[in-house]
Amino acid sequence: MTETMVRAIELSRIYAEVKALNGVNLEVARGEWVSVMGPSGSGKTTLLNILGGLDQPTSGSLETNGTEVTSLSPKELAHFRRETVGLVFQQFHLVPYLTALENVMLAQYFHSMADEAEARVALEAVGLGGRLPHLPAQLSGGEQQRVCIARALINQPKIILADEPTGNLDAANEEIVLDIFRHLHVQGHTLIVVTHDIHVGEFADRLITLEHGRVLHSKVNGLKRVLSSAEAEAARIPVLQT
Amino acid sequence: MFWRILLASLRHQRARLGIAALAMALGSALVSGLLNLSGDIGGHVGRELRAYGANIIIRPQEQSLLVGMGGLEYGEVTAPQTLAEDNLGPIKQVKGVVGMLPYLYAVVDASESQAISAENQEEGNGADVTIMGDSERPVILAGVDLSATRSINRWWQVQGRWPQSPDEILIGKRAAEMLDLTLGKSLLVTYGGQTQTLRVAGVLETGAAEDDQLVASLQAVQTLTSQPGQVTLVMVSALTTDRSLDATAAEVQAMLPAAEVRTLAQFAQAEEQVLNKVRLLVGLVAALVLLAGALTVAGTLNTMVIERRTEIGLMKALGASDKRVANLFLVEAMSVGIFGGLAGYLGGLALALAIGWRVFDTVITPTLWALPGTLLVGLVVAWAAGLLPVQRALRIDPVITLRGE
Repeated sequence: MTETMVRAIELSRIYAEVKALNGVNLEVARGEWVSVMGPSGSGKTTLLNILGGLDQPTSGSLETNGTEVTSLSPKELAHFRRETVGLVFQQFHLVPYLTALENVMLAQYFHSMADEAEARVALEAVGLGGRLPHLPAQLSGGEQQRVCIARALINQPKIILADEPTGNLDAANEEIVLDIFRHLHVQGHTLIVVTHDIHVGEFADRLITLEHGRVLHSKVNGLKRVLSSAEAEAARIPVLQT
Repeated sequence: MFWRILLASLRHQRARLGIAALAMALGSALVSGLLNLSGDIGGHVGRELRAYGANIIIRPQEQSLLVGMGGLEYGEVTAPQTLAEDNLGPIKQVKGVVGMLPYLYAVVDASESQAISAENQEEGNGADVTIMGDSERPVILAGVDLSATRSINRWWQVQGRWPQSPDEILIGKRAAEMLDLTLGKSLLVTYGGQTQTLRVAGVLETGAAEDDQLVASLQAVQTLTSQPGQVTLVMVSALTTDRSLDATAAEVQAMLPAAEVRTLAQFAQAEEQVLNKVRLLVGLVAALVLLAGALTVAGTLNTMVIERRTEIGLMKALGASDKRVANLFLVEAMSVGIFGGLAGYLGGLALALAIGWRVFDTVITPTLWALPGTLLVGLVVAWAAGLLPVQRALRIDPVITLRGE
């Protein structure tokens, strides 16, 4: 029987009079890779922020790894983020004055205790064994994103949330990052990836399309085969030729 | 890891933090200078003030005799009293006493034989003395330790030079006019049948009672008046920096039970007021400069928080507790305080040494606790200056900052 990692029920997030999320229901199984797609302003990032404990819904409930996230205090939410979630950002968000190694150790430090050897292994695992002492400015975009992934993984999170992880990368680096995600998926990590890119989305077990804060579609596998032209246009993603 | 982050951050922002540390250093330099001087400043200012006169007077206790004849009482007669010089030595050991000037006064006749010892000559003022005898030119002769008098009464103006032998005197300006004497001339003085020739080495102008007197060496007057080892008055100069004048006077009184020890309260109060005002002034300036330093640190940290809001948002997104984020910024602020305090300490020490050298003509001894004191002040001010920026940092919403707004 599949174990549920994330269960969101009627999640809503209202900013002033704007409904960023409007009654989203979502279940993600442990080890599942879910891609969230949709046009700008559809609520993808808002959903990811709430799943990551960075934001709280206006209404609805969210259970992650057995914890009811919506009832957590700010302090408990911080604890939830460092124990449960690994975040990968489109802009990488590396601390500019820390080396690649130190950026990974930073997450360890906020989690518990920094362990240089462990951080070194994490960077070697993403192919950056030779770039440990380099500052972010000395790394390519792809390398920075891999440091970001190593940082997200270093505390063995229960769930990895990635917001447009390949959005700032060229095709070659995109493949490297996707390859890492594929490995993580094979290893049993739970992945929720927000993306505009159908190429990225097709690697997921499941593709969710949001529009106006609601789930438009939730489809399993075979994106290229099941996504209609109209749906793709609604999601503002390129329709791949089959 | 905390120190690794901190050092990297300090290195990354060294230019901006350096300016904040410089502002702190200016304030800390004044604090350090004040602390380094505080141990000595009271003493030095007090010693400077001591140059303007004694603040304790010792004189013999008066002994009154009831005189009369038959059934008639004529009243009380005060017998002239003196103090033995030998008993005065221990006074110099009393805490706070920086100088002591014994006087022996006599009223001498410039031309004839009649003169008596003067009494009630405290405060060196002979103006109230009634000159007895039939001389037409009676004048007060004050016997003093000339070298001590010269060092204590530095404002005395002497035309000519100070006496260098027992037969030389200073003559007060008005006394010189009265006696029609000028530099180098000789004067015949008579006391109790003894006559001595004295030569005018210098004409003295003080603006006070000395202008009407003759000033000679103590030994010369003791010899002339046949009172070896005796004095009629002792002026004591005592610091009021660490001890009240009354306490010093009480200790002197205990040493000389046969004498009357009085304080000149006006001098003591004036000294205390001057000292307190000097301290207050320097303290206020230091506080204002420190406040300016604190505002610079606060402004710098505030700018840093604004510029580093994405980094702070990231830390919070990674699960950093408020305490860890606050600690990072507060310790950065306190590092500015330490560097500024250290630089300020060295600057303040140099300032104190320069003030000691130029103003007090002495070498200031560095105060032991000036370094920890300056660092502590720097730390506390920088910490306080960091509180508001840190509050701002803690209010940062990672959701907003991480999406680049």
